[in-house]
Amino acid sequence: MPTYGGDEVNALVIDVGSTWTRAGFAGEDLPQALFPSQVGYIESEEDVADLPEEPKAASPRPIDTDVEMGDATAAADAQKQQAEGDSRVAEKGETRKQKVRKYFVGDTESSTWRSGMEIGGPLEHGLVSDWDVYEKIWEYAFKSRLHVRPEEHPVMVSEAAWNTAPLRAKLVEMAFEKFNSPAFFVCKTPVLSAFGVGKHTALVVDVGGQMTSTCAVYEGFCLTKSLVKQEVGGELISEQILERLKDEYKYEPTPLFDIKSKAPVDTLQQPVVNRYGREGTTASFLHDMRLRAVQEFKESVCEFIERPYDAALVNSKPLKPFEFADGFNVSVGALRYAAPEIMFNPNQFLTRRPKRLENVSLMGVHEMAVRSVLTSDVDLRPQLLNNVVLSGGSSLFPCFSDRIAVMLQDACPGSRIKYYSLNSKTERKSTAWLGGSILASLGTFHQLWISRAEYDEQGASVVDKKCQ
Amino acid sequence: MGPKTKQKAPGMSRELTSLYLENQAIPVPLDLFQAKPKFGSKAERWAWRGFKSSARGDSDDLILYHWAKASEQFNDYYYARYNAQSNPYQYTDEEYEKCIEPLDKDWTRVETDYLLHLCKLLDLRFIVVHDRYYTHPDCPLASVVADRTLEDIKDRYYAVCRALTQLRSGEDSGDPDDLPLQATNKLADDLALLRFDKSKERERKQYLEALFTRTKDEIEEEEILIAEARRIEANERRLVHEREMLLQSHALFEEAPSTATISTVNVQFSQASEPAQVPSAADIVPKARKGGPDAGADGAAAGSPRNPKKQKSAHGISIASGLGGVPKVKTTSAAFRAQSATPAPPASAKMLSPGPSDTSVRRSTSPMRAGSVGMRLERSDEPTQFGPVSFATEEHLVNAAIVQIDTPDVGTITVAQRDTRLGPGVFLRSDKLYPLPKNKLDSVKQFMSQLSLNSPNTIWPRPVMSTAAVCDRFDSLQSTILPLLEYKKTADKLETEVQVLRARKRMLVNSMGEAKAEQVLSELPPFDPSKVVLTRAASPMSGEAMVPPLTPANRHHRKGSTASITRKKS
Repeated sequence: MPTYGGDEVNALVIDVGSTWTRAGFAGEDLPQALFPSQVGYIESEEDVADLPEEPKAASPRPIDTDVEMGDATAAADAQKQQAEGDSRVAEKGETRKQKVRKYFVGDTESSTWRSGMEIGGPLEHGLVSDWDVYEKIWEYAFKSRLHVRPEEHPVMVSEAAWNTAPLRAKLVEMAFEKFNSPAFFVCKTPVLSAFGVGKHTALVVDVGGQMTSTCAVYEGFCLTKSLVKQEVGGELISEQILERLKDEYKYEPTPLFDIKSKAPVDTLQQPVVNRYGREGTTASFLHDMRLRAVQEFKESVCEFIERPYDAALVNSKPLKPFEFADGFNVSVGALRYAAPEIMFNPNQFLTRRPKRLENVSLMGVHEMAVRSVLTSDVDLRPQLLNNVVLSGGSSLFPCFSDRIAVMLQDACPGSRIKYYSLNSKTERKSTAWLGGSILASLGTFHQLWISRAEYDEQGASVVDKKCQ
Repeated sequence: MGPKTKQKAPGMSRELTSLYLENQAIPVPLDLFQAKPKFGSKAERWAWRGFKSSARGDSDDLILYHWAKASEQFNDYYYARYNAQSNPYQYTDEEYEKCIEPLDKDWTRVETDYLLHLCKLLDLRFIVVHDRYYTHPDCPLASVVADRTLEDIKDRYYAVCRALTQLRSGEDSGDPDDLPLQATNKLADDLALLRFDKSKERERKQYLEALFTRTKDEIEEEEILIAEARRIEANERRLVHEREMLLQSHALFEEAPSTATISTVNVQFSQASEPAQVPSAADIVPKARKGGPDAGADGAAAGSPRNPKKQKSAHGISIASGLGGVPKVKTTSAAFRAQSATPAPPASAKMLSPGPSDTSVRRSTSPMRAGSVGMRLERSDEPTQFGPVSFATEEHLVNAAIVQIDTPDVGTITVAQRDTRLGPGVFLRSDKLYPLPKNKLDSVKQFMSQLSLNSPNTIWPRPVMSTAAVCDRFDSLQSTILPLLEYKKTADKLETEVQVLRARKRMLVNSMGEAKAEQVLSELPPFDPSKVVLTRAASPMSGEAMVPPLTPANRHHRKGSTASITRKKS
């Protein structure tokens, strides 16, 4: 028998985040499938009786990794709440007009322009809000990307640390009823992130697309009291940049799908673009595509300084040139430090608050971490500060880890603080997935799976008993 | 014909030429090439096999599949053996009513049940138990008291455990102090493991909390204070050290250097060099009195002290008095240092300085003057007092074997001095022996084995039956060996120094030319034979090999002597 304690049972690991979804096989070091969680959909009134044809013509660039989900699903509100496996089947026989959604999942599918295509993610505040989208993502990941039959493989899923009992119940239901999984397990993201860097006790700082959260993990248990979260993440930074560009340069990035041709322009000149002028572009799709353009900008130029924000220092830093896809080019100075600074200084730097954050007192990510530490037991604190785990795509800004090190050391001057984070970009983004991959490939873990028999016997509440 | 002409083609490498040759094979390392790797054994068969784990419980029938060696068969899943489970205490209704209910009115049965359930579920991770206490799905919210702290939870759990342990040990009478010892032993051990003091724990956490919430300024202040304290301590040490040095240099100054130094050494050495005549305890004292002109004072000083501590330091003094007649108290530590000190490096550096210099002029002064120069130099140098001191501290091993102690009622008692060293109480007989300095242990051991004296003790040699007489003999033997070794070392050192100087001189003469060298030599002040005599007198053993070790008094003598040796050779 192997001495390293691993025993692979070909489990699937899926981690659906607010911006990226990671899916792959347990025991591997990177997810096989890494695609945006944003899913395109076209809503139409259709006769439910006739199953819609495979809309291959609608896809201008079919690529085999991104097979679109043409499966129409009944999505009436009442049915969504019921979420019973047979509801769809019962509906099929009748012929009446009903709203039907056509989904487009995957990187190229969701970013391909289609008339009337909306775009949306499955999560809201880190919790699953749109189960249809969530299910489509699973289906796409397993069938089109991993090419497996989900009924043959145990499934390990991640969930937000603040997930609620009804949502968990629904999750386990979906796995067993819709995907017929033989075994299932759900684990909280911070725990998986800690496992991902090889820690069982850690302070996990997860800076994601929508949410930033800090949480203490003790011997593989998420300490719920220490959980601090707020809705400030990478997407908010992108939105802020979008606003700032509009304010400062009167510029709105032209999304890639609308550029027919472009001409070179001087710095800070409005772009000269020949547009397609596509009809029927939805607002959500346009916004999402603009965000993607800004995301590139954000990832290329934005960074942190190693100490608390200092306007003089920031202004003395060299400018960095950037050219958008439509030809607009700019040399950015203070903006590239000020924009991500909302991570540490949200109250000062979040100039235009979105509705959901109005009249909310926000915290810097280091303040959140300190609060997490302070709410946990005093005996545990040195251990937590000694094992700070950074995860999430938005922690990839240059100097982010140095900055948070300085800020935390300032806040807890007497403690020794040590950081653990995975170095490569993909690994950092998929830290939680990696933890799941490690966990689900351990020989000793296999006794913990929720089996089909257990689910049949005890119902969805079994998840609360087995997945602490 | 063809190959020959081709082979001779100029400007062409051998490899290239050989390409033209039809009959010549191009060398290829054939043995490195292996068509197919060979494995020792046949490939193992692996099978995709379903398994069930006993760790999952009996009712469950989940079958998972993994790859396993076809030859391997397990009755149970391999990793099921790691399914260790903690079994926290559980109680029956009866037990609860009997011993747990009266413990704490604050805790209801329902809540206690819930607590133990959580402890079992979370494997006694109290931090997690505390974290989930109110949010766990099994929580009977109605009957749970609000705001249980981690200490409350732990306290309750351990109180329950203690009560159950006591009850189950059959001795529920309560106080374990009343029980017989054997019976309480295990119970006490068990209870000790389950002890939990809530107030102490709270206090501890308060301290930790205070430590954690220190501000940056406070920490800095603390660090500064610590640094300051260290500095003060270091200063104090330095001050003590300096004071000691001052005291020592003072003592040295008052010590009159004279030929007496040498003669003392001389006498004692001759004594030590005749192991056949090792004096018995009785006649050592008078012999020691022979030591120097003022040895009488020494004997009196050594004989009268009442406390052993003073006696110890008196060893140091006795030498001083033996040397110059002026008794001056020296700390024992100084004496020890002097004992282990080696010739100071500056001195040897001076000796190696090439060519005639003003030091060579100083060499020519009379022994008396040379001695005083030495004294003065000594004060600025590290005060090392080598030869006589080390000798005499060894001497006490032989000499001060008997102490006269005056007691008011009995009169004077003669006590072996080694007995005064030991305090009251139990001791090993061999403790009476004077311990050897650690760094000399090996050499002494070796020496003794050369004398074919075998000791059963491998750590340091000591006699098997340490009676007073044997101890005396043994001490005297040791005290003879030690200076002998010391002298051997010094002699070896000097030998090499002489060698070096000779080589150096040869070099100088060579580079300078014979005639010039002669001239320089003739310009030097005339050679003073008295020094040579002195050194000779100091080394009664075979010739120059036994030169006394460096002392402030004779260091300059020796410089003179080495110079004189080289001069004689040239």
